[in-house]
Amino acid sequence: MEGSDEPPVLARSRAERYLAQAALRPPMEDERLPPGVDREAVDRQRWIALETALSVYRDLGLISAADADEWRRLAEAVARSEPKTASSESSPRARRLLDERIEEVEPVGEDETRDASRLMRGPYGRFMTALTVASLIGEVDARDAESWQERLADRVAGERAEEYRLERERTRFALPDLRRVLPGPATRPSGLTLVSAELYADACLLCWVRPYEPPDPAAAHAFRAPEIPDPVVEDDVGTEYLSVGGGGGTGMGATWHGSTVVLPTPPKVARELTVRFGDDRFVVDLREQGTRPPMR
Amino acid sequence: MTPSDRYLAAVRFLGMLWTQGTSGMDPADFVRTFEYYLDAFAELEVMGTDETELWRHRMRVALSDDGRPLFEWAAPVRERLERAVRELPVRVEAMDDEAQRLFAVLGAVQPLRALPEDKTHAWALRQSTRIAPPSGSRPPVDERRQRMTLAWANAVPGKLLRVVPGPPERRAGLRVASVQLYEGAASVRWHFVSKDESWPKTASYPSCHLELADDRGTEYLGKGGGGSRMATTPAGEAVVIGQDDFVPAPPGLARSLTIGYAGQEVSVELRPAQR
Repeated sequence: MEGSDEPPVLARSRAERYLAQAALRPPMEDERLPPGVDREAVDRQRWIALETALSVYRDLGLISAADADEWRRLAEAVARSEPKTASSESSPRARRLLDERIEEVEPVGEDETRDASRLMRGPYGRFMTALTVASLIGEVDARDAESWQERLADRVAGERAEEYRLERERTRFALPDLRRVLPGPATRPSGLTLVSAELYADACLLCWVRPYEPPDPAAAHAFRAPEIPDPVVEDDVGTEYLSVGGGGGTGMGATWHGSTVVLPTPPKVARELTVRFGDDRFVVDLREQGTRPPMR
Repeated sequence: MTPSDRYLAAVRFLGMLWTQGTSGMDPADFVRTFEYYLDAFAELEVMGTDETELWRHRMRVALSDDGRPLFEWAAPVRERLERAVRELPVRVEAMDDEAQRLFAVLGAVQPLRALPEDKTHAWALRQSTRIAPPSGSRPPVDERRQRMTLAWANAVPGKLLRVVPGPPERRAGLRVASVQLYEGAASVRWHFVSKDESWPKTASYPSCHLELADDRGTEYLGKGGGGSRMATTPAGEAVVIGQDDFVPAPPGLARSLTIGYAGQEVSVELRPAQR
């Protein structure tokens, strides 16, 4: 410590990382504040913590007065900042950068496309990080970012771009238009329950729940989500269905609940949907509700 | 975004990577990706060379930090802690600014790892004896929150009994897809579409979006059950599908539920009206 004007780098680094956490964290949104917790008191404590840390690190010689002013300025800017909307199209400089970066991307084999870490090491990673940065600073909006990703997928696919694009088109869904909900539940001896089938304009969402015992907390690092087979879906008019995604999480009580997206949505002429998760078979009545339960 | 907004966004992003570290990523891959980010910030004229060099240096030092103690800093750190205690008024209460400052001194020296942990602990104990509990008016107790915590701690939701589809109305961007009636609990599945918001508003702690009531005056205590954001639609709308969970289950005599979101309500009939 003595004999040098510069503070040792490691102690300074630890101090600065603490300051970064204190200064750059956005204030908690009002609606996330627990009831009974006063916004003014929370803000006041936040500033006391930051000012005290600045004073301690100054006293220890880990930061300069100018450093302290800079951290203070950043914290004030974060406290004042509000969510910003990106412009509706890429800025010329963002477009230029992304154009340059995408030109560097070469087609890769099918196996390589599955190895994200490997892809990220090369031009693909340089493009993706540039796109992240451009989105972050509001120079590319969400829709524009999607179209850049489409272009990237085309570059990576090379000669198979058309085939892959058709596949992506075929499996695209957003579920904006909910048309009908066909209620369950229907439960099988395995414990799997089909809760409901939500019919959207562009897809069908199968909601299910299955028994689940949470892992021992001591073994939480070895946690694996319970697996459920992809459903095989058919109807009485021969529509070809494809299961394209889904997700799940812990549900009510000792259950795991999830949903699976199936494309397309059943055509109006179809009367019945058959859903098989492995050996568990469910039948969903698609006709306007009568006296029969819509799911069995 | 103004240049200062862009700069602030960059600093917050790099600060997050800097303080979180590799988060399990291969260190070489992490450094390479960090370099790519710096290149992009420089190319997009958010930061100059000096600034990117500073972040490069910061990250290099942070990644070399193996967590070793810095006992060579023990004496000045101890002296700073002692000074903090000496500067305390004779009487200080837990919610006073002076007490908060004292806690903040400890908070600031801990990451330096300049004192053995038992010494830091002993100092914390010593300071706690100087601080009295608040004597003035305490913040009001949030009884609803207490009831909610207790109700969920004791809840053992059982079998799924019934699923009732929601009405077709969409209010403030939110439509009730269905109500799932369990033994002892209920879940409301919702479907949210908005051009202005990326996620529905939270109504109450913790992360519950909806208010639930019935025609029997039951008090429902809810919590957020999770949600998924779908891809943005071609019309630029955000679509979020999720559910909120409530205890207790609606009583058998309840005929309808009222579900509120953002000051608007819809009704869900639980059983057909008597004829």
